Amino acid sequence: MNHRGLLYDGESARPVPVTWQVSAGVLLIRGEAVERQVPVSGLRATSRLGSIRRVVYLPGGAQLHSDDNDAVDQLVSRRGLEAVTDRLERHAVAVAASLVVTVGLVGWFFALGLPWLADRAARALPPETEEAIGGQVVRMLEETVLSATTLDEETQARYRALFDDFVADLPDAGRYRLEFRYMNGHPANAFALPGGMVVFTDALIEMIEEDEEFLAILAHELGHHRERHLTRSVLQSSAVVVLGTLVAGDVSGATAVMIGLPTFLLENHYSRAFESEADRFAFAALQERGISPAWFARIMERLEAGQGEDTPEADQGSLLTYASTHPPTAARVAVALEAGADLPPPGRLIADREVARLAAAAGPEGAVDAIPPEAVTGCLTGSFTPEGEDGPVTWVQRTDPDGTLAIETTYADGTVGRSRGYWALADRSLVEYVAGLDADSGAESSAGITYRYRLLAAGPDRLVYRDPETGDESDAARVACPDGL
Amino acid sequence: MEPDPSPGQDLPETAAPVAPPPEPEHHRFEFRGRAGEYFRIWIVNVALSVLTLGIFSAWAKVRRERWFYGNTWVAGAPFEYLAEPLPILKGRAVAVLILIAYVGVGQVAPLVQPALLIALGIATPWLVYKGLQFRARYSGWRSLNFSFTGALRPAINVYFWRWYALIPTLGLAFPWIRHGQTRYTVDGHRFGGENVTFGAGTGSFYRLYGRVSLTVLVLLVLALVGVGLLAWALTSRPGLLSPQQSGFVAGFGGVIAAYAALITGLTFNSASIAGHRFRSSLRARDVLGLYFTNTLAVLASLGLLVPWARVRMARYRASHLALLAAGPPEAFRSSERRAEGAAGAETADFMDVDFSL
Repeated sequence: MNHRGLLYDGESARPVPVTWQVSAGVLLIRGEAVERQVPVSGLRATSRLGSIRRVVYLPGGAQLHSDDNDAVDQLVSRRGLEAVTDRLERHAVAVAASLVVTVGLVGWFFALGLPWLADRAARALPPETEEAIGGQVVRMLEETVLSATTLDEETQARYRALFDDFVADLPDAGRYRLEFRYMNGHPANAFALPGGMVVFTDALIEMIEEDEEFLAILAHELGHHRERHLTRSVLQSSAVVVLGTLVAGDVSGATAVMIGLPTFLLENHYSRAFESEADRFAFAALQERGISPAWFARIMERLEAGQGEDTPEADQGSLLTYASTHPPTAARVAVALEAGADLPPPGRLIADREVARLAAAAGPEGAVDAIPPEAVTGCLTGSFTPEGEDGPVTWVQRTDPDGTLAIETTYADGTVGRSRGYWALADRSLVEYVAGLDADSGAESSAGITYRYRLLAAGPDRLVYRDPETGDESDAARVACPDGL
Repeated sequence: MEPDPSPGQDLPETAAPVAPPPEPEHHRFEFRGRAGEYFRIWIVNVALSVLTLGIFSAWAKVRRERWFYGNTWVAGAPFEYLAEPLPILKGRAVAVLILIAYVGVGQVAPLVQPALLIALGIATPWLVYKGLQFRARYSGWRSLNFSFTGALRPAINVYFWRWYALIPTLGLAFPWIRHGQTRYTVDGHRFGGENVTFGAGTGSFYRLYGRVSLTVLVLLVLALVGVGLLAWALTSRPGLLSPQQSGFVAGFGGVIAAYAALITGLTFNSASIAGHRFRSSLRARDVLGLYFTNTLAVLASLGLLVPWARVRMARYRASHLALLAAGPPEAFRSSERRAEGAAGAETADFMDVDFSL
């Protein structure tokens, strides 16, 4: 069978149109004023690729160019990597399989493979590597945005004591250091830095109202350390950058956006995963110590409220979630509240003016009845006679499942006051109120007064407490909820 | 890095110019590849590259280049890409190591990263020089290979020393620097025994950059306003990318595209070989539109439309380039082809490396 082709002599760009055929192991080329016979064995040709023109290299430098792919395939070996690749490219099943393999492997690698590899690598490295890796970053931070703390020694010492107590249980307690820094022009924040450093900014410390809030944030930052997030994120983002550049190099005409957008989304995805992981560590660590993860929810909500709208954490929109380094605060809060479901929720009696007055009368450890977690729902009533009051004060209190209290107080002279608040339990037997905000105006009233009671007994209808300071005992009874409470 | 399918080609001269100067014959470049065919090639090669942890990517690159060269036709013949995968694999291995070192240093010691960049800057002339040699040697048309005969020393001049003029002149030297580089690149090419010559003066580069700067300005303003408004409307809260940053990213991509189109046009329009000339009719706004729609398509298809986007771009580029032949292209003769091939084969053993990614 005759095939058409162009014969180049290897010297000039002028082709001679020829016909060619293979017969008995010999390639016969015929054209105007041309006739060549070449043994087929040992001939070399460009491998088949799509439908592009093939080149058969003839002895002496001449070339036979032909578009007849099937015929050229008869001339040369159809084995070898490129020939196999060509057959795959023309095979519908192979193309479909390639699509599945590519999408599957790429997806798997970035979703699971790379994080797993980075995790294993980070854990195999000694913790000191992290200091070597991140030391320069810390120095840069120290030189640019961070400066010496403005907190007084007493405050620092108090939080250091909390810190020491909290990390004491961790296997590598000696690695961790607590630092305070002033950070100009940045929202209240805390971060885990290489070398076991946990940095709280002054603004954050000032925003923290309760020790549990400090511990909740501390636990989150320690989670970053314990899970080796610094090393893992260095490894992962380096891999993403390298692979992104390779892809960009391979996809000519790739624009900055084509590569940049997926890279950006992927890195933020990893960052969000780390935040969630640190949250999970924190919630478990808090639970172990009998502290409700709901404390974390509380400080997070306050941080968000305090930071306004210009932080990534404020992004609640579903689309913007993917552009954020942190999961939406609402989602983190929900997880925290769920994790804290079995523990007493954050407590803090938000006293109205009556309670404030009582508190003042009763002294810092006055004999105000309190409610244990077992009595979360329903209404309770009790009475007592604070020092300096004319007669007994009776109160009725409803505790909602979310820990909110509604309290109605009746004084000896017949006046009635109402307040709302929260209660807490430092542990399961110590009831704690912290007086704080006026329920109606939201203004600060008797902030910082803490009442502590030891729970002596709890039954379905009866609770007995003792004030550890005074030894006074009082009890409360479950009653039908009155109207309006 | 991806040069045009036809880096500074050149065409031959007729035997002897006869009395009337012959009207140049118009040969349009043409891209004949179909996106469907390329998709099959592309996805199989990507899958093999992924499965071999990137090793096959050198073979994939050769197949990709061969397919794009082989589908780009002018004056009745396709181009040929003749490189072997192994030198490319070597070059890629080195490039990947450098990249990993660069990124790694960036994470561990960001202050040292500039030093690496400077080292890379010092190596650039040599890398460019080797890269031009490699690409030219393995590009062919009508059975003849291109070659690059530029020397290393002028490369050091235009790719290294000239950059020092940038800061003292507050950037005004940039067109001059780019002119030197383009002239070095074009002038160094040979085909069919003829030298390519670059006829554009420095002035034409200054005019071109004037236009580019204007485009940049307009685009930046448009992008800032447009993207800013869009971001605002979508979120009513600034996201991680502030409107300014988004505008910058979008504007930057557009500028690169427009600039590439203009510089390609100027380069082709100013190159000649043995009396043959080229006519490029690339328009910055077309290229910009192509980049924009390609980007949207690629992002929306999670990358699966990459083959379509590439073919589309190749088709546009080819259809806006023409060869103004002063005589029959058949007249090219490659007296040096043999020697060139032998020399090439020798160096291919060790130093023949394509460093591009």
